[in-house]
Amino acid sequence: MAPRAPLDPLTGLEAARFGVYVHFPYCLSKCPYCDFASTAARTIPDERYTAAILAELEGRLEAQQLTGREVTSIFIGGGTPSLWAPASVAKVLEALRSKLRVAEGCEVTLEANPGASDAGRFADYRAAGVNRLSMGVQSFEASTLATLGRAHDGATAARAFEAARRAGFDNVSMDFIYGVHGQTLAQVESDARRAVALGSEHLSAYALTLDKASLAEEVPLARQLARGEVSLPPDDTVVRMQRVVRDVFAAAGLQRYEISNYAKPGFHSRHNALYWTGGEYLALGTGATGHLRATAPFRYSNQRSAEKYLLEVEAGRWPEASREELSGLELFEERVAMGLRLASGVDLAAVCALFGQDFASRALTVRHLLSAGMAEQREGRLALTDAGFDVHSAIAARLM
Amino acid sequence: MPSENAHIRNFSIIAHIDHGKSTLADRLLEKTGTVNDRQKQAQFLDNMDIERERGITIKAQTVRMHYKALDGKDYVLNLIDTPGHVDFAYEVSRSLAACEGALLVVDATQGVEAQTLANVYMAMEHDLEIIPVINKIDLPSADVERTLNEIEDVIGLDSSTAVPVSAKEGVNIDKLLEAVVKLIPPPAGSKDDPLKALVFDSWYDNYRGVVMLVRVVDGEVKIGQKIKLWSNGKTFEVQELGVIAPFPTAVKSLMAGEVGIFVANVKELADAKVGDTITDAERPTAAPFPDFKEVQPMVFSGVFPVDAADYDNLRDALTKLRLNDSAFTWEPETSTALGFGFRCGFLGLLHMEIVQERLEREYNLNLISTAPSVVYKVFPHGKEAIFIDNPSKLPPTQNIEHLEEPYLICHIHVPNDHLGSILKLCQDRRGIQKGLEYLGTTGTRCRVTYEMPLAEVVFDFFDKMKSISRGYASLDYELGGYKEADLVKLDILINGEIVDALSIIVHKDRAYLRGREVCEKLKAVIHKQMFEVAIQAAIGSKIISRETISAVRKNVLAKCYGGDISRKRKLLEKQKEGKKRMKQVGVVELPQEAFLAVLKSEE
Repeated sequence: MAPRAPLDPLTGLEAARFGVYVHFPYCLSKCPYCDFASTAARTIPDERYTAAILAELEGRLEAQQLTGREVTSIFIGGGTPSLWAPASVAKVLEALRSKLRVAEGCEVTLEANPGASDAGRFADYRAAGVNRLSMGVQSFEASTLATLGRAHDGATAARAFEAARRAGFDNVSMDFIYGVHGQTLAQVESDARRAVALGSEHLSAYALTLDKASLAEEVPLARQLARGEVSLPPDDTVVRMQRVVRDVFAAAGLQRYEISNYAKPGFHSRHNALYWTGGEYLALGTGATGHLRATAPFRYSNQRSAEKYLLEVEAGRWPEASREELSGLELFEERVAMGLRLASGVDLAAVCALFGQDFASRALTVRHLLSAGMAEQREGRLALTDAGFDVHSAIAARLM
Repeated sequence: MPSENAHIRNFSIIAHIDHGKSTLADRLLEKTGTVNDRQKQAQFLDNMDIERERGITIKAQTVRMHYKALDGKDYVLNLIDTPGHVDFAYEVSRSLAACEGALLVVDATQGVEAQTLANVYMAMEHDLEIIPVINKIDLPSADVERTLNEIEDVIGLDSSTAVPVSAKEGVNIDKLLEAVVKLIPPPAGSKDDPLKALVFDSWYDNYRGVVMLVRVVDGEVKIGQKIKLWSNGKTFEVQELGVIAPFPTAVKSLMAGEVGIFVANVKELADAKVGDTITDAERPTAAPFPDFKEVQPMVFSGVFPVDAADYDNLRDALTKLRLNDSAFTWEPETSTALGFGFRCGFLGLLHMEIVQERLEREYNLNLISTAPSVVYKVFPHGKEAIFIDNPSKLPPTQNIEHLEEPYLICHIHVPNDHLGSILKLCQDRRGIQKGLEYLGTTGTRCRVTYEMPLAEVVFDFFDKMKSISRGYASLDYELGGYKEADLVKLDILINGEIVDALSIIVHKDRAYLRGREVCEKLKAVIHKQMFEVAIQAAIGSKIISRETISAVRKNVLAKCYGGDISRKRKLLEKQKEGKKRMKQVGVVELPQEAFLAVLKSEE
């Protein structure tokens, strides 16, 4: 059953308006491209971390007066959340249900690593209230997986998917990476075909990003790239790879609804849609970023070091590393830039009106984009075409 | 010699850039106690930020110093600092006309360099007593002997009076002050003659109106006196007189031989022309100073706000700048590509750069300037000749009988070693040789005279001349009238549309080369766009060159979730800021440099 969330009138997308993000930072090993807050740990301080999450939740609910608020999505990301004891996950979800009003049909996602999961665990997660699994497959090809430093192989990934199904997950997503050094167009196509053959409801396919300015932290592959030890495929090739992925996914009934996301009808991620439609999100855990507007709009990010995070929370201190107040202009810019990531597009005139920005001065750019085939009007919204998505940043910077 | 001004010495400092003029001036101010330690500010005379940064003096400055000489007498020394660029040659000549002497500063580690030569010759023409000052003698590589020889050989100046100094270390500054007192003659004028004063600089002060720097040559000027400006016959009442020592200090009168500030309720800077003569309204002097000329803008360029909303701010800024710089002119201009802006006239390229830099810096404006153009004389069929200062205004070729362009008579001083390359440069720039003479006793340097199209001189001639002569060639020039030439308009098309602001007028023989150069330059400065960009050069409907800029293939962040949004927004904001400095022409964003791409050549 597909989850439910309210419709965002500016993008026409069903999107959570208030969600909770919980970060679990621990991994068995650290992948060389990953810029998420993660810690490779031999032993995971499961109870200690769970207690910290619950304590942070307590503190934030009180400080932001969020108790009793309706939640339309929950996302447990990482790191490798499938290393988190199902009982602990159950405890966290239970705490959320008791303190907040978790809506009917609320999407509850947990990220799983194919190499660190089994069907028994999945059933327990399912029983705890998780109704969507997002699996970091990345590729089925041994060479690509090796390049990306992934421990699992293609067969393991397929088995993990089947395990999820057996555990009762009828909403499973898989993540893929293309544009990897050494990867061929044929390999990308093969990955896409094997992905759709498994029949998941949702797929994400990301072009490998090693651009320093775009990353949250420096990653080993980016350093290798800078030193000239690896070189990524040319932009033209990466764009061709995206087209192959798009075509294979589309033929299987998964439509591109965001720059890197594809879903069967009704199965797009309500939680991620929240990010692209200016929704609010409470964030808990290491390196987690939240965005709340209860008083003045602001965004905060927690300590990226797991140990530091734990020590701060245990000492009764705020585990934040930074906090940023957001002006009306910044909220506007984000709404435009994020909305343009969506295939449904964004009602630019309405966003301008909502944030008191001038639409007329942007109209000429819109006309240029339309006439150049970079954008289309879809149900009164400005939506980028595939050609437009390729240069989303350049377009967003023009319309912001 | 009138006794009342026997204690006055008026002099300026002539120096090659970096040879230590400003440092020497600072030392003189300190040694005479004119500035104390608290007021010390490196390069006291160069007030404007742009002057300090570029190491040049744009406006004349003057400062009065008191000095007790070894003879026990008290002297008043007026240092008149002069601008140091060919664009301001006229201002230099007026400043020198206000002096009886000049210090020629030469770097003992570099020897004589040519940049100063034009000013030295100008000083000689004004019969100034020139004292060579050999600077930087503290440096191990200083060669005083060789420098003295060069002064004799290259300049043809007696070096026996030279004073070796180190301005940086303050060595021999006292000897130099003694030399100033002994060698530079006191002013000759008499206090009892009718008033005759020279305006050698003027500027606009928000509170006092026009302020002039004057040198009183004859007679005396007093507060309340009715005076007349010779060039326009207007009369004014003197309201304020002062000297700068080093801060403005009011005085009741200025007599023959003195230099000072003059304020007389003059409202328009245009009324206070440099070189003009001030005299008594009732008892005028017999004749004005010779060589007075109205300064005319020589090059014109369009100045447009990047953001159309800044138009009014730009107009206000131009109005204010013009109050302080009457040599610069402006009027509204409309461009298809750039919208509403202004056509501005300048003395030369440096003047243009300075004005544009001041507009951007002091008025915080984001501007686009088009390539400078000279004023062409167009003879349409059966009609009277018209002047155009904007290539986009040139009528279609079939309507033109012929075209004329302005020429300069250029005098170039150059050591023999570099003569060949200078002759080639002048030849390349369509110069017509008018004379070549060897100077001095040894004949190691010469003076060549060329008639050259102003447009060619404007087009980075000065920089080229300097670089091929390793700085040894110097240029001065006078206007040389108009001459017929085979000129065409070179248009630049971006994606098939003519961008009027990029049009230039070039000689027919150069059109192909310039067309190709401009297209290549544009390709280099225009960033990749979301669309393919075609750059073409055309004469009339004939395309003579083409370059293509391919489209950006990929510019997108694959992953964008909760923790990425702020970082992504900041990246996009940066991209957006970058675009603010671009001018959108059709679908193409052109950077500011694109409009000047036609200016420099790669020869």
